[in-house]
Amino acid sequence: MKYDYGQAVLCKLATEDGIVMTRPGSVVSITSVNTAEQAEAFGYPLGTVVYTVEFGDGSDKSVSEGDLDDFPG
Amino acid sequence: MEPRFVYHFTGKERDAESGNDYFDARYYSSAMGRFMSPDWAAKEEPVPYATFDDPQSLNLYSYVRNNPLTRIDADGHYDWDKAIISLSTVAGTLGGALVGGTVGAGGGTLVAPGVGTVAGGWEGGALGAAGGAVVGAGIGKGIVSVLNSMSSSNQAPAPGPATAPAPANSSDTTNTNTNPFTGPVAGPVIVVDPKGNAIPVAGGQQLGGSKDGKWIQVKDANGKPTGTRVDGGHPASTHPDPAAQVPHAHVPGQTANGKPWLPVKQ
Repeated sequence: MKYDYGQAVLCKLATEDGIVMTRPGSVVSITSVNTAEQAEAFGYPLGTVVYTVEFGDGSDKSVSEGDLDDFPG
Repeated sequence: MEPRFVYHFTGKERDAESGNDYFDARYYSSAMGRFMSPDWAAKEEPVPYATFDDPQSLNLYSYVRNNPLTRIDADGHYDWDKAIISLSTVAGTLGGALVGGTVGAGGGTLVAPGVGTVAGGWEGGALGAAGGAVVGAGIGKGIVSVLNSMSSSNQAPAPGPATAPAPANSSDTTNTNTNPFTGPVAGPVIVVDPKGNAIPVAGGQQLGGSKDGKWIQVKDANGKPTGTRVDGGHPASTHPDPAAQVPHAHVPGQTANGKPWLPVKQ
């Protein structure tokens, strides 16, 4: 896993018109997609590591590792 | 609009109208510190659950014989043999922790005491709170011995990756798991961390988190987070609010002073 709990990250979010923006957040949950049931539940293929990232307003979003970037600094 | 019920003392639901906590068999008034009706037993007895060596047992309105620091009530009846159970956290690490518990006779909830007190619990939220505590520091010898004996027969998983364990087969009716760190539990359990913060886990749910136990999430059977979790504190670079930078809890729909970061015992 590239990121750890509590680590600051940049989460890539796509807007409705396809523009990708990043939003700073902190990792609060890490889950490996190991079964077909999990793949269906998460919407990611087997083997994906899914991170739940909490943003500064307390909201959160679950994304794959590929949707995260290192937080600068 | 405030919900009619929220979870309070030892994880019981509070009726917003009366302010009393629902303990299955009876309602408890935390304001008065007693049950609102006398204890009763299915088999008619003059003084249910009384023992001759404990005068407190004669008071049918008292909560756990007026000793809430060392005893807990699972279902509104004071029956020690039925009431207690379960495990507590040990060593405070997720990987090596013994957690969870089974359910009391009432089919509801039961708190397994950890080490430490809960002065405030999860304010406005899940458990604990309500003028008191989930369970306290002075764990009675009785409970400790129960916990120890349970721990020898229900060992925690060896430390490993902090990822969700493989989900149990939902059609598996033989699931008797009571340790949410090893997979979905058969019935509701409440995990208490070393600080005394209680984490409710419903049947079919499980827990995941960091190896150091500072980050714990309630997940569904597939490992998907439910939103109820304990966070170890976020960096100031992403969370400017000081309340988010210290350990806190999240319960969907619950806020403290309008914020989603619910205070926890630290």
